Amino acid sequence: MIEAVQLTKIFNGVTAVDGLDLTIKPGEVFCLLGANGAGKTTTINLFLNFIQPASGEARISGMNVVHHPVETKQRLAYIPEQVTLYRNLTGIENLRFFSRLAKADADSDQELLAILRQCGLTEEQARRRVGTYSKGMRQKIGIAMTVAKKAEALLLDEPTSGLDPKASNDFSMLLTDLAKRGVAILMATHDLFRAKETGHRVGIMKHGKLVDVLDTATLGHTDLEQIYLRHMHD
Amino acid sequence: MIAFLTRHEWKLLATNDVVRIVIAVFGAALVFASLLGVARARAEDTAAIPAPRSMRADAIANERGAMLVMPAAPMASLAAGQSDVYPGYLKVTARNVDALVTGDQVAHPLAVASGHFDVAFVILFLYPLLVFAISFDLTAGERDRGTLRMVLAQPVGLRDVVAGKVIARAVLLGVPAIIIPILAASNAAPPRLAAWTAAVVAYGLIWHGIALIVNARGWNAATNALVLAGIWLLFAIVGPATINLIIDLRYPMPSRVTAAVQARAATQEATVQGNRELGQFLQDHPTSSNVGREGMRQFAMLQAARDRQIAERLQAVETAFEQQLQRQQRLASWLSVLSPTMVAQGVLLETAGTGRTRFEHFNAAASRFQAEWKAYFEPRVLDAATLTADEVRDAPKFNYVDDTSVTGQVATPIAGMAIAGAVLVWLGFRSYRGYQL
Repeated sequence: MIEAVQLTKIFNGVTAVDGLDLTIKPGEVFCLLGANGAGKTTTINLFLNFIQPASGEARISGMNVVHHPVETKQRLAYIPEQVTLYRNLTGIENLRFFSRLAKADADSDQELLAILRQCGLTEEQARRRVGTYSKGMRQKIGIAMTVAKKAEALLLDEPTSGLDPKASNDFSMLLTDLAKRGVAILMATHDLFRAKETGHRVGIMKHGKLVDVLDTATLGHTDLEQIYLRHMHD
Repeated sequence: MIAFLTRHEWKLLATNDVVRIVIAVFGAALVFASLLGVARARAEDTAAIPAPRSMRADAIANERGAMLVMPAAPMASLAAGQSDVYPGYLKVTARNVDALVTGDQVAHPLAVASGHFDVAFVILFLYPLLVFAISFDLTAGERDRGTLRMVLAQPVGLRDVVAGKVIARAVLLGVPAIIIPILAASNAAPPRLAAWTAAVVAYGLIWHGIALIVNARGWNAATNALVLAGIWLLFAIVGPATINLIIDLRYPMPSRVTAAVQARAATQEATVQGNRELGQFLQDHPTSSNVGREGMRQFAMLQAARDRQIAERLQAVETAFEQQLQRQQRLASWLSVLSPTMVAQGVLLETAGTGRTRFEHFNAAASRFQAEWKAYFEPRVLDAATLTADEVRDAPKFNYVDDTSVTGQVATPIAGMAIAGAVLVWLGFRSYRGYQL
């Protein structure tokens, strides 16, 4: 479960996140839309405890991330726009490193290769240096990390930006699969189409405030775009 | 967790071409300097003692005298130190102690100008530079690429990550910096080796601490590299040069040539006067056969009187020179705390036995021996005696016992460096508190 309770962050007098209230249940994909500077990345940074809130709380699995940084990070996974791994290590070596950091059970080559295969990487690819990977392949390692550590919550920051449509679609399918396993997912994105396809709910953020929350099941693609643009023009 | 992160960092460093080059350069420099040092130490350990040409007391006591050879420094293979400045051989006569500077001892001009390439040089100058070369990008690159965010999204603290990076780098450079000198000076006494090793570790700690503080500022890797290069230049090159300049300005010393000219001027009158009296004696006694024993005694008395006069005047010049030197050294010992390189240099040279202290200890032992030599021979010289083989055999023998208190003397500066290093490392980790991702 991912929760924000009156979460607020102020940078030099500018309110970046303004009293955010949000609950993402296990198995739910929540897509956060908004223009650049709306506060999406700041929200994710607050959940990662990279920055401290001015007030309010960010919670992962019911625990305040500021008071329980280790416990909450054991339960969450993070995939940024660029999954930047160690270029000189292979895919499996990178996965092993991050799994061990997270004290995950999966550690043997067999277990890690099985996870990488689930995420769409072949053994040959897994044994190659990450320096040779495409962005889509690196994103798949990010998903593999989430699977390996059995994360309860996943935070994604513009993960599909720059991916070709096929890679983007593959990625969405992996996210949907993770959600089915009970992972609560918060994805900040500019991609309205992907948000509608992958998300159960979509939130529109503007000037640090969550100005609208929509159920994707009741929306068409054009509806979402129109609502989004209307909020941006307000 | 820190052990795991250290192993991971080790693996990353092992795959980094720049780091491989750095380690190869460092290892090669240490091995080369060690081999040169071992060869130099062997060359220093030889001295020829000429056979007596006559059994006259004056010939034995003064013409031949006693050759005092300072044994090769306990760790001469690691540091040439002051061995090209202070004489390692002294000639003792019943008159005085002479520095016996021979062609073997004076290095060729280029070597004197460029200094020795020894292990101490590699440790003092190259080691910190290479610490900086592999530490300027502790976290900046990973932060800028975003890898650090991926790592810190796991249940691990930034300071643990940084600790792993620092430990891996410290081991990578520290192990050759410790092991190779130990192998090169394996015959040295364990306390000296332990002191040398402790000094190297403490010195390394200081530079790793500085690198840590600079990295914690949050600048990019290029800025870190520039700042660290400036710090190295300041502490290792400009700082010591400035300190030497301050010392020279405060307590100016005459050059060796000027000192020699001063000494000659001071003794000239006594020399001329003494030589005139001796010349007069020789004029009065044109052949030695008609001088007789009494005449030879008179001649010996005249010689002794001349030598005493010269020695007294020389003493005044030498005392002034020594006093100024001591003032310089006192000021240097205070100012050197401003440069870790100067402190470490003092410690490494003293520990190796090529610092000033051991030469002074040897000179003091030579002075004591000269007093014994004089007491034994002077009455016989003044008596113009011809010595028996037994008398020559029973003459005082010089037996130099090395100063063993050196390790105690260097303990304080080593502890000072270790404390400074620990404080810098602590400050570095503390500065990482507000590190912006």
